Amino acid sequence: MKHIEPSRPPSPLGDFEQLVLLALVRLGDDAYGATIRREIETRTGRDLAISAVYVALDRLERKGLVRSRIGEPSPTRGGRRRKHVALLPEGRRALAAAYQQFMGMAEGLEEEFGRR
Amino acid sequence: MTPRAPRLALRLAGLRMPREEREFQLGDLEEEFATRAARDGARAARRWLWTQAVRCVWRPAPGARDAAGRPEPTGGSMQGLWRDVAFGARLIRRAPLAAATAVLTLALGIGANVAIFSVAWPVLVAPLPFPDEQSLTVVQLRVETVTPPRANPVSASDYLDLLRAPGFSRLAAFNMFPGEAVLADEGEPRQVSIGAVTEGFFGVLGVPPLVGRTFGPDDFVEAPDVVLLNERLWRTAFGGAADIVGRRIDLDGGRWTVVGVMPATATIGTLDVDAWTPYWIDVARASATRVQSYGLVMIGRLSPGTTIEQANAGLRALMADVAARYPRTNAGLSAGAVGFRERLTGPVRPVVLLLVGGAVLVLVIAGLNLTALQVARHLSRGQEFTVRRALGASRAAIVRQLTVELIVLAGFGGAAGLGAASVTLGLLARFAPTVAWYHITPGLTWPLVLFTLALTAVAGLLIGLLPSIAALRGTGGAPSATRASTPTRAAARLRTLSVSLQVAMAVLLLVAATLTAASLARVLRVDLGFELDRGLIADIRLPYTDRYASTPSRVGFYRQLVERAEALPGVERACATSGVPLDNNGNWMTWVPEGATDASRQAALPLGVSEGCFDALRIPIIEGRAFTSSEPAPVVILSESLAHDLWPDVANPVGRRVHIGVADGPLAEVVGLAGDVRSSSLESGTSRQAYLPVSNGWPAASRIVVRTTGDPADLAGALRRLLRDEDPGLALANLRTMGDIVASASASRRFVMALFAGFAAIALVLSAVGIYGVLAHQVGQRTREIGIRLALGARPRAVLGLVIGRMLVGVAAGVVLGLAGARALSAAIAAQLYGMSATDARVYAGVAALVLAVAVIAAWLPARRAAAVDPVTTLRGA
Repeated sequence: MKHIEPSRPPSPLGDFEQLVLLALVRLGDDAYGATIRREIETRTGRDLAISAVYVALDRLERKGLVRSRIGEPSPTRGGRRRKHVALLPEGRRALAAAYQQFMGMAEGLEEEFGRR
Repeated sequence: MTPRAPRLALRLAGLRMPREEREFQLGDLEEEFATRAARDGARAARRWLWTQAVRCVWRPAPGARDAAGRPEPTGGSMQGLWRDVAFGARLIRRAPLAAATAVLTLALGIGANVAIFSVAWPVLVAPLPFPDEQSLTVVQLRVETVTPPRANPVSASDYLDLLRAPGFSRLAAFNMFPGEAVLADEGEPRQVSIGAVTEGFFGVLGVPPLVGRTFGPDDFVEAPDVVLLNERLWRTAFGGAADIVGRRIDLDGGRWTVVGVMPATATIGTLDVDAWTPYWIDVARASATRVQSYGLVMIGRLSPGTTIEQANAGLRALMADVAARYPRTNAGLSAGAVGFRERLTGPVRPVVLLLVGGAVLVLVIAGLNLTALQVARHLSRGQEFTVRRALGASRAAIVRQLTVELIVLAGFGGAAGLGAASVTLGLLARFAPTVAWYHITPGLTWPLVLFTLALTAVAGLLIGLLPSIAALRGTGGAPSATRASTPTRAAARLRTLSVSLQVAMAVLLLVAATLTAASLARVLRVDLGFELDRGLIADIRLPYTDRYASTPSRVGFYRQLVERAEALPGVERACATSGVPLDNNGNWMTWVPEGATDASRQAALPLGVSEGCFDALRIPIIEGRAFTSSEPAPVVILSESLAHDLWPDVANPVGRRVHIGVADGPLAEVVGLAGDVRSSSLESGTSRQAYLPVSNGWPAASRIVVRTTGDPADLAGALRRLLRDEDPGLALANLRTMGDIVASASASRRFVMALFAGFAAIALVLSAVGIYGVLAHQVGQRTREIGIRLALGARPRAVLGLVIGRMLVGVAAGVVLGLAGARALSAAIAAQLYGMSATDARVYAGVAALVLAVAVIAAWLPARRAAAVDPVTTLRGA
């Protein structure tokens, strides 16, 4: 039987992945685990475990939406290194698409759900 | 100064992080911890970090849902296992009461076992602190004129003979009666116990010194002046000084040179002493006179390749030869060796095994109880399993899940049990009397923790497997709405059977508890022949300094002390003595009626007393008179039974004379007969006793007894002050009441009784919970049936009978089974009882009545609910 390579559809972003990508946009060069976690926590009020952030980052990186870079060790981190994360163009496109979809659906419903 | 992040929390958080990412994640945590500590304070930051750590470990397992909300592919069996664990934990959170019951039940079962094993382990299993314990033996004389032959310590002359015994590579001995001395070097004078050992003793034991050396051949001289310290004393009195060897210390006014320090493990038997001195034997005298003082305990190493039977044959032959040569002293005496462990722990082994049995029963009851509980829970989850099966879960997967759930429960139970046991360990250590011939400290050791873990896992597996298999039967088909609520007949029968078994085991434990409790009560009620409810006893050891060098000065000191004590307010009577009944140590002596031969000698314990002692201890003088303050002629007062054994045909032997020791020993005139007292133990009946006046110097006074008019405790301070005024260099040691002495004489009985009572109480409660649970479940499931019955005209009382009836049949069967078991096992417990039969009908009847009453109450509550069912509502609801 002939083996058929399945074509990979662009996988849609999960809502948590969207939050992480949005945090990356906001944080710019200062994005790494701790700042991402804090950004999401303060903006959404969602209480997060650090490991959950890394699970999402790992998946985003495998999807080719973000890339990471290892930094230098620092004493405030107990001599441990930092893993900086940056948004890739592919990630920016995926986020923009999700944002457009969401805003398209949300348009005109401000009355109903209110604005922050 | 920034606080440090708790390392334990970081370690916990890192447990489930992928290794290549752990560094970054932990770094993030630590960084944020620092930020938070600066902003919110260290406390809040620590709390935050711990929450993070727990959530990093306890996050929804990757198999369940990922952070984005999608199911992830399962990554192998470990993840599946983790998912089951998480699921089990979630079930616990959902039904906390049921889970708490289960955890508590298991904790009781496991806790009881851990506690008992903490005692059983060192007694039965743990290696003794001596190398090659197989070859280590205790050699004792065997008195063959009584049946069964009685073991007896060895005399100095026997010791010299036994040294030649074949089959032993080395033999040595210790004096079974430790002496006491006042250590007057460091700070307050303190009384210490001194053991005496013969040459090579520590070599036979195989215990090397911690510091310095043991005794060498040159140390065994007529007046030895060298001493070995017990590690204990070295640390407490000398602060573990490194330069202790060679130091001269003051014991009883004499100067002794410390040659070494022995580890505390070198203490065996009555040799649990603070220090050791050489035991010198005057070989010429011992061989010539065949010294008749039996106070040596011999230990020996078997030669390589020699069995204990061969060694015993050699000992018998040797002693037969000795008896032929010295018939006067050695007729009817043989010798035998027993293995060290047998001698050290043999007497307590039956008790310990009995308690292990009791603890195992408690665990089995807990297991049965939980099994029944699980069957009920699984049945009500039948629907869930059916759906799972329909969705493609294999039976094995569901069984695994159920089992893991149980192991999660068991884990909590085990942890709680370990906690409970570590609390009871303190109590055990306090109550555990000198259960064995060497010092046992119950404690949480590694083997014990591993044992708990194993027990927990096995319990979880067994309890989990059976009900889940039962629950899965017939879940292969389509989901059905009714299956969840219909118990199979087999399951119901299983639960009733489990109740019967629980009841049977509870009955068994209750019988054991009641028998031991009744025995204890009897022992505490025995007429001791003396009485000292309000009184104090204290040891005062006189050193051999110039002031107390002569016998008259020692006698005079005690006479003056007693007089002053009697002048204290609140003191009714005081006296000086060498020992009191139940609390004396000294060699038994033989006594021979004047004009008779050694053949008619009788053994009795000599006790030195001053004139007030019969009064203070309320020992009645039956014939003749008590002692007066000065007895110029040698006189003796005999206990009634000793007098009778010495002169079986004489009604009143007052005025006759008796030889002390052997037929040519010194003579003393019998001036009175005293009532019999229990001297060696509460249980073993009265023992023969001979009282001699302390004013004659032998046996010398070493204690003061004070009978008070009020609370004895109030007098302790006054006694101390009195002694300090007499001589500040003396120590008042071991201040105790007669109650303390009786308590310590009954400690091991109390210990066994308390444990059985605890086990029985747990068993009874668990059984009641089991009965209640089964019935409550049945009533819940039969509500419709009961409603129909009531609607058709059944009387509520009949319904009550219907519900309770079958359960009581099960309970009654359990009671019968339990009593039959108790009868079958009665021989095992008979040895622990006093003055009653192990098949005492009143005890059996009482236990049966108690269990039935508890069962009726436990069954009544759910049954009442059944009788109160409103038929209209039930029928409509259906």
